[in-house]
Amino acid sequence: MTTLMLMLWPLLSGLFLFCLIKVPTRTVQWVNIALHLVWGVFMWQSWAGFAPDQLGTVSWSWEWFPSLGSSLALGVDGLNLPLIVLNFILSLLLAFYSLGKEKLGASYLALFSILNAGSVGSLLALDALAFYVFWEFMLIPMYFLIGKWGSKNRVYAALKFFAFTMAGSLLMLLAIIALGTEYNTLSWNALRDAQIPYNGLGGFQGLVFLGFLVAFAVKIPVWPLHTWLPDAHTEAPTGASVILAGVLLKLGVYGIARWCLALFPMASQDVAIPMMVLGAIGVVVGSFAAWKQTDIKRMIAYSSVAHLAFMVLGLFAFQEEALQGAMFQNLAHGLSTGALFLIFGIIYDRTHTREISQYGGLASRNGLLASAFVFSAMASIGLPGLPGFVGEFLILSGTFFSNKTIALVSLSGVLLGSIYMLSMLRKVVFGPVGPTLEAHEIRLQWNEWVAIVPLLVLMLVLGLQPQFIFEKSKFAVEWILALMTSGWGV
Amino acid sequence: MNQFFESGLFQVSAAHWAALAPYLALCVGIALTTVAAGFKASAHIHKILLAVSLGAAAALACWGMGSGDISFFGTSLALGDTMRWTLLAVTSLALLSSLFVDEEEHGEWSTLLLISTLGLVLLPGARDWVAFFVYLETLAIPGYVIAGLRLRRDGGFEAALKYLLMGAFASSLLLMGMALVYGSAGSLDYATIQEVAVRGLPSTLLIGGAFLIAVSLAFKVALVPVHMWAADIYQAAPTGLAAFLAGAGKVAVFMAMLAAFVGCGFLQVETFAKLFTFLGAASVIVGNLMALTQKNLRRMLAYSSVASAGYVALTLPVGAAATMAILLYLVTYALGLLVCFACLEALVRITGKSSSSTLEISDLKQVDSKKAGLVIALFSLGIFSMAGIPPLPGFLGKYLMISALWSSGQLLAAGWIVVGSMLGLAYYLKIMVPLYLDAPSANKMVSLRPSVRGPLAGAFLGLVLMFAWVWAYSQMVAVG
Repeated sequence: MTTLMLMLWPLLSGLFLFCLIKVPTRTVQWVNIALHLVWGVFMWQSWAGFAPDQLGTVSWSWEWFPSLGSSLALGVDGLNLPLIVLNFILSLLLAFYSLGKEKLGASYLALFSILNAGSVGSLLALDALAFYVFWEFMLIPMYFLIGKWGSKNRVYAALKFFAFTMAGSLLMLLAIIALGTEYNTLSWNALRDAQIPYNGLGGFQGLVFLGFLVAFAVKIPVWPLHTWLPDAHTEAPTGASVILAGVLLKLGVYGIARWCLALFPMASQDVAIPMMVLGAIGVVVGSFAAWKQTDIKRMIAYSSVAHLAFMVLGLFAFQEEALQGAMFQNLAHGLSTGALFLIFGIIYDRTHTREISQYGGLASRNGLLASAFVFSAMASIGLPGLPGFVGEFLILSGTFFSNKTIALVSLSGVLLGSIYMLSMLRKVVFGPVGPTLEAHEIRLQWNEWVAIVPLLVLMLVLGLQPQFIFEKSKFAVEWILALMTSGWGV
Repeated sequence: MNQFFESGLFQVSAAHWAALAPYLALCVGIALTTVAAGFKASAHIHKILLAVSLGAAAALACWGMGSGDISFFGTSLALGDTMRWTLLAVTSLALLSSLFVDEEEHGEWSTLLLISTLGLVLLPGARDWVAFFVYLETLAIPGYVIAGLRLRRDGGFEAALKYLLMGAFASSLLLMGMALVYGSAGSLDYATIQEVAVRGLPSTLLIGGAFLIAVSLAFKVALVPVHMWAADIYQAAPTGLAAFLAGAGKVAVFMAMLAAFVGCGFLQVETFAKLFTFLGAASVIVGNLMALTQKNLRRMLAYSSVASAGYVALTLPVGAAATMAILLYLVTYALGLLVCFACLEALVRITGKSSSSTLEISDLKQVDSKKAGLVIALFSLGIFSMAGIPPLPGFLGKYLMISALWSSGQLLAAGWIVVGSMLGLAYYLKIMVPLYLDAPSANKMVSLRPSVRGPLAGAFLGLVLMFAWVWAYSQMVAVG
């Protein structure tokens, strides 16, 4: 029941918030925080009651379409729990961030809650149809969040986001339908136990696998399917950017681990090298692109492309360190990039420009905020002691064992990462005070600090105590790896 | 004479009465509304009579669910569970479309609508072509009258005349086809025709007849290339008629096509099945592309429903195995369309236009999304359901159809539906832009706060019915 409430509560709160459309904005924002706190109770119950040695255990299920072999099966395990909690934390902090912002009223908060229901639902789903329903369900609120509350080019960005993701997902839909007709079940556990036979990428397992893979590759996004992301990130309002970077992109990585690696291990092995090559290209291209950007949000978006390409490497290296690293980096990147978008969003709320050249001297205008910004950037670069380091180190060392060339090429991404991030910091945070910061005072309200500080603390905790997460996901990761090394012979 | 009575033609058991009960309820409704019209009863009474007889028919169909197939009039009418499901669909859609009728029109309307509904619900049960033709005309003729009830509307005369001429043309094609089929099979009975059709290579005469029948029915459901009338009728005909034709009409005619083509064994003839794949593929592309270029909302919805007919036509060759999938898709799509029609009626009042026929996409800019929140929320739910985005019901229908195609090995057709759905998104999302995303225009016209309660109730009812269908499907353990 707790598991169901993880998904149902945000859905109900979303519908409730829609009804508050005539209530004063500030009241709605407080109600939203209260609803989040109740959601947090369910989160806490799931986190505390979590037994790490389970994978795919269904804890709540409803036979919604028996004739299709599908049920609404939900379960918490080591693969999804950390991400669900991350989703909750980011959403709660954004609820604080939105306090007092007149534009972010009932319909914005309601769409946000509904988006949460979709993302948590697709994380929890242990049934292919249920997964697909939640996966697509996320598109609608996100489309409106970008399209309505975004900046100048928002309609174009929202459409591009919608079209790209939908195109990928429809291939996944075909794959799910194929699975359903072939095996008469869509349950994750049953499909895994069915041990779908493999005869090449052109065979059944191969094609179905590719259907899933494309959907996830668009979401991650893997180069060359990444072009929607910079637009969506740049145009989206701060909250949507944070959730997009912190949760939605992560779903692609999670999806590959849950649905591709676990159900189609042989096909996954056959595409490992091409995927790693795409990952390496993504790292390099994303980093160079980030370097060249003049728009801060666009730069962070391209840095996401590069960082997520690291995770693709980690997924397809088939080494324990690499896979653990990818799962961990998922959280680390969610926190650090989420923090970057949030902090810059707070600055943008006052200055209304994203041009790097307009900035400069943030450190002398608001030292505390500048420190937080630098801290998050360091976490993103992968400074030891912060989580980005743990994740990328594990991924690279794992990749090094499986393919040295690719590991060496992507190593350059770490270097490039520090180049573009540091040069952005130099231009924005240090140096003489630029024209926008001259014109605008950067003074934060208490609630904005409440939104930022926990992120910084969490980064520090994860950076120094990564074990805290590893022990949750260890069982799942080892299980998947066993599958990779021995195929269906486990 | 004795022989005639002993033949079983007039042996009527309790089970027969039970199976006929929903249809009799409609007949009683027709009689009562006619009498009521004679006494110049108020529109209110007509509405109640209409709703009660449609509701009674639906309730009786629910009650009889699961009691097996029964034949009437020899073998010319077969009533089974599929028929009961179809009846449920058609009556609920007819009830919804009756909400669009203006007060002063209600007298003739309720009678005509009930007669047409009776024809619709009987059509899929026909087991020979004479019966088929009789039911088809029963449903079509009241439609011509309704189309001509109010000729003074914008483009009303043109639409009514077009609809009549097109209908007559389609009927003549159907008769010609029936004649050819009779010529080659020597019978108009489905079962006998099937024997001829599947035995060896069917004659050119039979295939020619089947083609003519198919084309004439393609007219009725507006498949490309015989879809031209749809846009005019959807746009210019009275809203109630457009909604009735697009909703109830399409569901019943498609179900009848499926029953007839499976019954006659036409779908086992490869060239014939190919014809539908071709018509379907063309409709998906043309419908979606034409919808993209429309400025008028009702025309756009018309082309969207051409595309949706295309999806069904693509699935039709699967045959009996796809019955439930097709029905569910048709119903959820039609309900989504009616939700949109209802919302358009509400939006007309908000924007101050004279009728929803002239409502353009750009007019939606005038709608204040804060003040008319409920209307546009329902409108978008209807749109997203038609687009087939989960968790809205339209998705389930599409899923089932693709699934049916996949299990019968027609991967290309399945892929085509997916491609069409992608194209469809483009114009569905185009509506969202003026509704929500554009910066509010300076002269919002919503300050009058006109009454939109009626259309809103209709839209809401449509949405509830849509989910009720999904629920009903989830309760059916075995498909088909």
